[in-house]
Amino acid sequence: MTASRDVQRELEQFIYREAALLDGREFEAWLELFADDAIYWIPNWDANGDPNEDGVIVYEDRTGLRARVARLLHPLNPTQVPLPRTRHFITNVMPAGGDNGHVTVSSNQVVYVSQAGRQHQFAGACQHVLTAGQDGWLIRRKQVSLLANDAPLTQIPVL
Amino acid sequence: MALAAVSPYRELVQEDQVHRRLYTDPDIFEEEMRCIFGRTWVFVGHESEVANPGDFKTDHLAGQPIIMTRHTDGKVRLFYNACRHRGSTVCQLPYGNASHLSCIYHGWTYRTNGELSGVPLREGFGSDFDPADYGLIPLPRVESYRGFIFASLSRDGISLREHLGRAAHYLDVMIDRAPGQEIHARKPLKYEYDGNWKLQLENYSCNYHPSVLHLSALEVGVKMMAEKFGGSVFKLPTKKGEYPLIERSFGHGHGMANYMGTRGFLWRDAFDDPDYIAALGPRYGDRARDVAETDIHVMIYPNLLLHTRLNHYRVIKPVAVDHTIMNTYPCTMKGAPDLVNDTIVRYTSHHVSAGGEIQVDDLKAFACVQEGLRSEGLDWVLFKLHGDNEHVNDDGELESNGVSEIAQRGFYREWLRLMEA
Repeated sequence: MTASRDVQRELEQFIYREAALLDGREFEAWLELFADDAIYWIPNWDANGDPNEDGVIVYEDRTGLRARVARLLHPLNPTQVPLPRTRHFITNVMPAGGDNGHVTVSSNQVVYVSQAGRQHQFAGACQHVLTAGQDGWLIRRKQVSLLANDAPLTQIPVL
Repeated sequence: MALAAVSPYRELVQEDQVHRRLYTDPDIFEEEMRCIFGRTWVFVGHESEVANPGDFKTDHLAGQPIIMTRHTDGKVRLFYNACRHRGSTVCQLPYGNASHLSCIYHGWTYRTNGELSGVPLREGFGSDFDPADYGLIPLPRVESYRGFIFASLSRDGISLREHLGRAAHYLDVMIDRAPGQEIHARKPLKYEYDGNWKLQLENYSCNYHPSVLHLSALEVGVKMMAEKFGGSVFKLPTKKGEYPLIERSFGHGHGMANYMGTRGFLWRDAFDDPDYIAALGPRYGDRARDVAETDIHVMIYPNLLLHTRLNHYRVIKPVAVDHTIMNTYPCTMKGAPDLVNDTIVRYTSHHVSAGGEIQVDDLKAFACVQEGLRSEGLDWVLFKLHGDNEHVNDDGELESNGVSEIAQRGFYREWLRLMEA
């Protein structure tokens, strides 16, 4: 699918805005980008590993994401001391198809995280399935396929 | 070392405290690789990882590359992953299936039973060159207990069964929770941390930390459970004796702890599944529900950790004195309903993965301990916590009730025994 310049720009802006909310630790606002039936998925072992066969690094429905956000903001979460700083770098944004008010967008991303004097980076391919909501796009499904999905990982931030 | 008289380790390991150097001294780490990981029985894999003829898996043992294969005769074998010609690894894939393994460098080719079957320019090696002398080198000793495969890099020593002792019972507990009495190891979830390998072992047997270190996860998890299922479905024990904890330590450093935390993290508890419990009925009768709900941690010294509720095992892989890799294998159960097996895989992931909600807290604690132990002003790491009613039970296990550090004390008795052997 070749998107018009306006649609391409709109989708890019949406994905950049999502990343900015994460990097700004505005997790509750980030949660609002997700549709009620949303799935957020980081496969284990293979870029499209079967969640029930190969396990998952993350697989959350909206309730799970809500719990995750609540924990990120919990004052006694040991992993958030000192607060990690993240920065998302997103490239190669390509609308990959769509129908019935849905659009699929693929992109590449690198997320740098710095905490307690150490820096780690997580590179991967993203796929967003977006659905038209009342006030713009909503994320129905976000899949982040890490390059290093079969390697030992340190704690990953929200990608 | 200065204390050469009897053993340099005797002064570093006391009954209820160990010296910080056990976690920070690179020389001690090298000796551990030689005396512990290079000598005793070490878990190397599960038969289901190489289920079919030609299947292989590569891994490391005591820092050395190994390969596990299943040959066409159905037998599982373990070799050093090193070509007999110039030493290159003969296989670089984590898992796979092949009839032969060919070295990428000069093409020496091996069958999955280790036999050297092909040598380019073979005549150039002379008429007395016999390929039978140059098969892949098998690990010195390999034995299996009901699919759990262990290796020892020492030619001599006690049998695996003798090493496991009472730990074999707990492997049975895990395997026999499967209605079909077989488990299937899935692909591993991997994480690493900046800390000594023993920190993970100690942590796994520790009922002291969850309500502190994991407080945020527990609070959020309990709230979400209440929201999903209504009412209060899990209450954190806050008083002594409120939860019937049992912790045990037994021969060769192994230990066991039943666990208080798991249910708090589960937003659906699939082990209540009536079909699963019914499938256990023929063997266990009235005990089927209890078996389904078995929730224990088992530590098989030095590197295998079992979890019988989220049904996985974890393998400790020491890399350096201050660096460790952990591989966690969710284990689905033969004959269990899909819902139960899916829950095993998904909730093990949720619990243990690098993007999960529980183990990441522990990784943080390991890194903090490793950093803190750089302090020369601090000599001793304490294991002085005792539960109630410490006694030797009918199975010969040292047992206590309530939160204790009984299992950790057992690890260090074994550590000292192996390091002095």
